[in-house]
Amino acid sequence: MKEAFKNISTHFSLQEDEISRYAVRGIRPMAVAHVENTGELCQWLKECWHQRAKVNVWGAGGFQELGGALTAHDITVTTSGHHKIVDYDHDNFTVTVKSGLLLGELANTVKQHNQFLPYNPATGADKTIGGLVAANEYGSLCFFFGTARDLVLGLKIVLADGRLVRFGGKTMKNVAGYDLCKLFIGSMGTLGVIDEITLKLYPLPQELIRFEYSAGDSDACQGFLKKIYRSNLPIWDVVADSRLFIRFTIPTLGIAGKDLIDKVSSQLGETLQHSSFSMREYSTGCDDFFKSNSDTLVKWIVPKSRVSDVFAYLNGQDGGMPSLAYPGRGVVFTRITGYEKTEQIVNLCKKFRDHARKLDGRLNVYRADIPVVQKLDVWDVDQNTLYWSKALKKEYDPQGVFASGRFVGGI
Amino acid sequence: MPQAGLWEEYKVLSDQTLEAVVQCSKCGFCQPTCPTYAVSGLEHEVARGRHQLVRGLVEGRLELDKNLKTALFQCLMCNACYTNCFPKIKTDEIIAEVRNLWIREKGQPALQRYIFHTLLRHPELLGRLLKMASFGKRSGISGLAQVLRCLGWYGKNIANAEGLLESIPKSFLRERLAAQSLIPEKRRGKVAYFVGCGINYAQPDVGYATAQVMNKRGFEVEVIDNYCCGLPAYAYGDLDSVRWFVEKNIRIFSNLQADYIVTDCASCTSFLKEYKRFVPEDSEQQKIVKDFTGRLRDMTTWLYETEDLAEYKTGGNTQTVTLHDPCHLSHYLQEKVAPREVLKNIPAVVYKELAESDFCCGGAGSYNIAHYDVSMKILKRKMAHVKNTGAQVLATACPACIIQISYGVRKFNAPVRIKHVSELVLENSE
Amino acid sequence: MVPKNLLKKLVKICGRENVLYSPTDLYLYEYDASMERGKPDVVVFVTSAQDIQNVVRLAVAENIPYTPRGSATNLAGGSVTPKGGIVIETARMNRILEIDEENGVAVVEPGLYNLQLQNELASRGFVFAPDPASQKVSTLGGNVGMNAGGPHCLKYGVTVNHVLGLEMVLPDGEIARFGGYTQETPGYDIVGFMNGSEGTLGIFTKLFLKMMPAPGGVETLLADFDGIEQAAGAVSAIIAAGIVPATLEYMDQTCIKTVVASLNVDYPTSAAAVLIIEVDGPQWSLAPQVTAIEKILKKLGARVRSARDNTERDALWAGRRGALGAMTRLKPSVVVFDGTVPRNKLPLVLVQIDDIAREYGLFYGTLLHAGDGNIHPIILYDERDEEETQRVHEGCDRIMQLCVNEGGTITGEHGVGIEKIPAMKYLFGEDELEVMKQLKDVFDPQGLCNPGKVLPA
Ligand code: SF4
Ligand code: SF4
Repeated sequence: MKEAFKNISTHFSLQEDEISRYAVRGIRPMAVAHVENTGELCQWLKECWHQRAKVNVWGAGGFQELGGALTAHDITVTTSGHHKIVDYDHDNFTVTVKSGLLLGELANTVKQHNQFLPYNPATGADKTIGGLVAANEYGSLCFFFGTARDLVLGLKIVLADGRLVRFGGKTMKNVAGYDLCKLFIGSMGTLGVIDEITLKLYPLPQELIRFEYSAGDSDACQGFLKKIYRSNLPIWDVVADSRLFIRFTIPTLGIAGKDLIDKVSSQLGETLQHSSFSMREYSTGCDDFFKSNSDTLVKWIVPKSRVSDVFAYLNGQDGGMPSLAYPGRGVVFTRITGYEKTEQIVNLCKKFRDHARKLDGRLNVYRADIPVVQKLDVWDVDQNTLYWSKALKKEYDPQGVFASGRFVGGI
Repeated sequence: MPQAGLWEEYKVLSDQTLEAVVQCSKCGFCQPTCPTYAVSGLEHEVARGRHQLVRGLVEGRLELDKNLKTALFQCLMCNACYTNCFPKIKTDEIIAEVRNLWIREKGQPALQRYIFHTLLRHPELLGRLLKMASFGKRSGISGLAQVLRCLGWYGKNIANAEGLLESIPKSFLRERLAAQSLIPEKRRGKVAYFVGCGINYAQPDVGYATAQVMNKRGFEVEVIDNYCCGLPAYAYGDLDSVRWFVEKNIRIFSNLQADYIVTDCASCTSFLKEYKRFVPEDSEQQKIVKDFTGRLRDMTTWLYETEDLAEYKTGGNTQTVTLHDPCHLSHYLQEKVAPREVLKNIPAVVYKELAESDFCCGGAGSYNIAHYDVSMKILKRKMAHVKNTGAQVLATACPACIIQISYGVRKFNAPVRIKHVSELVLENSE
Repeated sequence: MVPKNLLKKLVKICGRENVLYSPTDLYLYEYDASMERGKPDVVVFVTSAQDIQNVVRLAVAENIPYTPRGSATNLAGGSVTPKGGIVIETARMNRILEIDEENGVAVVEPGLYNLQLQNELASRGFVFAPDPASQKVSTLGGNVGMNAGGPHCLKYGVTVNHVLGLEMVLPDGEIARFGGYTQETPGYDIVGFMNGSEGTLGIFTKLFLKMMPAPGGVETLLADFDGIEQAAGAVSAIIAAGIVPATLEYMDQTCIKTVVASLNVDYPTSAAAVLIIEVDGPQWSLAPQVTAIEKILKKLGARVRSARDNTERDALWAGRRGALGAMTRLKPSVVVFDGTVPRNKLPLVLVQIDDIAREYGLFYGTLLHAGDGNIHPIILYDERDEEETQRVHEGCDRIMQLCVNEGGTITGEHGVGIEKIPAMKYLFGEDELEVMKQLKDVFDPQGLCNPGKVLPA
């Protein structure tokens, strides 16, 4: 096996120290391959397919511990060297990049043309775009711009057997054939490796205004959110936290900042704290929440009217749990703090999950240590989706080339 | 695949009809507006399907058989499809011609022949028969009832002889108007009043109101001694009879001296506007038609145009009024403004819009008799909307609608009175 | 012909009056709004998910194809049955089941007309963003099945961006629900690819749709240009300026002249093209956008008019709305071509389409959802003229290739259906088509669900 791999690329390593750097929760590959172009990526997969080897794809390494526990694998393929900007079509407001490009680098490039990608995953910009899209990560801007599903116009995918296929394109409207982009986005790399991504860009706004509102109790919180949902204001992002503090951002778009502030306040019927800043300084300020790696992090997915119920529930818990929500999406992240024992954490997660179900929602364990993950299904998936997800996995990766264990049902 | 040759050879339908059928792009936009489709959801109950059936006939893929007959005879000829049709296909013209083809190929039922070739052509005979019936001479009444069902003037009531007796007015409109002066004190002009059969024989009160309002607005009324406009024959595909009526009426119109020619039956108005189709181009008759259609107004339009002459009572109680647009007014004449504006101008009227106001009531001449079940489904939908308005009065402008919706009032218990716009105007005039 | 015993079973499931099989009826179910034809063997009207489930189970047991049908307004043959079988007509499943204002979700049955939902939502201050031109008559099930677009997609995205969940009868005969009241669902994005699957992976029985608050105000502008390139260029310029209009529609001179001749609209007939631009949002946000757009347009030499009130706004739109209709009055048959190219390629592509049309002797006018590069040349002809029909087919084929060559696609919103299957090869290689086929195989291994669509055999 090793001999065959060596023929593919010089960027191939069997070195102990190198291999150990690519261990995931203690599970190490046999070898590491650093790909730098599409040809290499295809070749590696083709070879793995023939050798019946299991592959783990590694971008910037940011999501290796996301989801369930990764099963044993033979080869880790890294994509961070595969980071070309293939086609930046500013007039068309699209950019096509290779999957190993870091989001931050892309953001910097398009900024120079006064454009921006409205995609701000809270996990940070030091991740590869391929990884972010595969993990379906997103940030507060999803309120207005949606998630990867809405921003990705086209994908090139390397299939389990090493064939390269292309879906979608450079246009917003495209209904030629099945929309397989949707299948691969958020599939956690279990069906194929993302090779190339075409994304939709927007003009960089000149000035934004951030508004802040502090709700007295969870009813007031929900009342205010409701006003936001019902308003026709061009709100770009909304973030709320368990202190019932709500922040949202509106671009001025040619309106004097002061006027905008007046209009927004009167439309929402509240005097709001506000500050103005440029897109270059844009930050939702919630990165810290995700940075700390020590706690277990769970993700509530509820109908959006239940977000304040989640807050109310959490605030009633012992010690209070710091939480952060993208309320328009009905998503609340909760950091489980103050618990050490696996048993306790698992039970708490289960309790939360029960409560999420009561709110017509679901609860995923977003990040947890291996003992927790082993005792708990981290994905709260419904039976239908699970059944068909398994069927799809079987069809597209019948040999199980892509290292599994991380996605729903252990896929 | 269409075969060009077939279309050239298919001479049993006129070129205009063939061209109209070919124009249907099958876009399907007629679906939500076609009443028969709305209640059935069947493709043979919508304009698109009907056109495709005719197409199938032309292309030799379908026979002129019973299935085709049902589909084509169940069309209301309401032309709601026309209003929404991109290429503006006049479904009624196609349907009338195919029904005519049916008569030519399969023969005309004796009853229809008797009506269109004898009774309607001899109004004095028809009048005598009706009078005999209303004076209680019962012999032959059931036969007459059957005849009148085909015309639909008295609605569902004439299923039996008793119903008929109740429905025939004691005196017809022409008699009533003949008995009085129709010249106003301050004369501004003159209206020639075309009296529709439904108004004359079944709803003289409406016609009486029409004449009164004309007088009140300073217009002398000349009652035209006209024949049936020909629409009933048209609906049954008896185009020969249509031509007979057209010719007779044109002769009568040729020496009318009046500022306006007005009728209070929207169906008559719209059909009179179609007369040009039935006379040769560049003929003397065509000139007469052009002249009289220029002066022709539906009563609602006339009311709207002479609105500045109206003198309405003020103070007094208000009533909520809603409007049903007769198909012949809204879809054929594309007139939806006049009746509304007239109603809104009446001080005592609180106007409420009716949902789907231009959706056929299912009356469609005698359609309610020939296709009772379909007609009732359509009527049910109409009455539900009427109830939702909460209006006390429903105004409309066509005798067939008045009959049908009055029936709906009883059948579906809707607490609403049905009035012709003329009647409402008269009631509220000083 | 379907065997008698099958008819009997269908009658038992759906009721006698809901099963059609006379030759006349079947003749009427062989078409949709496209030029494709295919005779079904039987048509059934269903009123519930259980009906559909029972029919599908029966079809699967008897190995007979089945095809869902709503209003059959497809422009590519999507509801035609090239392989015969059972047509499952869902038009009677047209209820609004729930409007959950708190969560912004409308739950409806698939046979509901798009406009009926819009009307209901409007009365509550909401909209459902996808507004295909056929919204008066096209069903929401069809909209989701085809991932429909519409003028407002420019700002709000296409149908898939507004569908939260689906309940459907899958080809295995089970009723399954994916997604619903939440904005995401763990697992593969099944709802995502079911959008635009053209009814080949199952039949929708319930749709969970995202409602948005109504925009509050709109401003409408009409700009006319002396050259098509300036007009097409203005489209990119506006978007580059950071303004995303709600709609950005384009009409060429042929369309302008035709609407002016047949409708009472006041468009400048000398113009090479007009753009109708609409911005929406809270009332106070409109003026700055309008000013900015006007500045751009004038710089490009356009004459600009804006609507002062609703009547004027309707007047400006009347021409655009009536354009297709006015065009179709000129000749018996019409193809509404539906390609998409990157926005900045519009000037070039429009010129080349003109060349192709001249080469093939096509009579056409162009409408564009210009903001998203969606081009709709309306090609008129008489399908009774075989030679002309052939030229139209060849011309369209060339235009599709042109779109692909310029980085676009063969269909932006009408779907592949039957008509564009041959053109799929311009866009996709063997491998891509196989991957699509795999998706079909996962859900419909027997290949009975709406066969003969989307993918080459
Ligand atoms: S005339 Fe009326 S009933 Fe007949 S097809 Fe048209 S809309 Fe339907
Ligand atoms: S709207 Fe007109 S063209 Fe369209 S299907 Fe109906 S009749 Fe035919």
